[in-house]
Amino acid sequence: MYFPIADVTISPILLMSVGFVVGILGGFFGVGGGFLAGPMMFWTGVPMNFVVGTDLAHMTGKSLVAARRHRALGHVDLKLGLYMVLGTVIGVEIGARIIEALQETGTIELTVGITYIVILVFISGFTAWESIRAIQMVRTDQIDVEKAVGFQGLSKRIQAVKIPPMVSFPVSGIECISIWMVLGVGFVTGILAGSLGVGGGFIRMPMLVYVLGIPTHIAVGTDLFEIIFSSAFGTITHAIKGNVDILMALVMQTGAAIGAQIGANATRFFAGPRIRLAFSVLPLIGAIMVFIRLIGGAMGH
Amino acid sequence: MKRMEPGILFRNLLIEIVIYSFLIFGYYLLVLRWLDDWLMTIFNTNLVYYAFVGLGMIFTQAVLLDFVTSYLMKFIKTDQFGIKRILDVFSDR
Repeated sequence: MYFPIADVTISPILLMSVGFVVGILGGFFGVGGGFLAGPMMFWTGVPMNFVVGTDLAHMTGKSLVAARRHRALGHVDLKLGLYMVLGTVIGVEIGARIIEALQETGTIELTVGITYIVILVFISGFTAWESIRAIQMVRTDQIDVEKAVGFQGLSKRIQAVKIPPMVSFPVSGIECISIWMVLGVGFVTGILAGSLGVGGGFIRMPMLVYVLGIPTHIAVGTDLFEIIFSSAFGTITHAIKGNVDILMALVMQTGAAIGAQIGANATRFFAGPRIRLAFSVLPLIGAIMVFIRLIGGAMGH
Repeated sequence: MKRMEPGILFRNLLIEIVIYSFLIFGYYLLVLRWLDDWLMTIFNTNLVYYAFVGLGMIFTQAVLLDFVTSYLMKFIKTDQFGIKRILDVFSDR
């Protein structure tokens, strides 16, 4: 099929398949999947300037499908999601300004790349360690698997902070938390997402669990809800710059929609610690991809 | 939560994917492949308009596909197509 906007001919079945795979991962783990979809699209022959924008466009639709499915399963905390969006938007803007400042120094690629790798490896290692600990806790202490979190110290401290106004998130089981903590988490993930040039799903999901103390299933669903807004915003800005092939995104979305639905439904059959353990592999894949890009860039020079 | 047998779940999933693939093939032939000229014209004339029309299309298609997949899943679960009965004839179970 010829895509005149990107000026490229690609098999629609290949694009649908890419969408399908990324859709399953997105629906199951609550991530946009840009770190996987991007290289896969590039591999299918999509020009680099269209990869990011078109991926964001298909991500918007995929996240909508997955979030609706998670909402039907009771896994989306809309109130929490909207507060997080507010914090994230401000954070993304500041993150983008950090990037501008780094561009002036001329070390942006290396600085961002190394920061990205360090953060991703840390998230991957920490999530793996915590989820294995939680699985062991279930076995040895006989505690409820949904309540088993191997690292709760930070979320308990965060919930103990009493800076008004205080809000409650009944869907997430949080009776009382300072609004500033919620906005703060959104803000920090926004800065990371904005400065690293990613959607930030695989930073936000663990932060929701470990920092705010949100149950894993609700963290996955709420993260997807937030990705709808962040990727829609990204789609508009990239499309105005002429970097989005909407037709390609629509074709990819047909595969992603059923993938996202399968992924979201699959979360019903796995307990929180197992989802987190499987999730821990994703940031590592992202880190390896950035590492390869950095090596490629260095060799190119 | 009542859980279905993995075998039945997998079979339902396969049925859903096969039916969905046929529907998407029809959608591709009837709709998607005819959009290229129109989208190219908007892309070349007004990028802001293109951006918002594009996002609108993404949202519309997402809602449509979500409706289709949900409907399919419901139909397969309740076996309103009678597919399970047809498959049961060919299976040993």
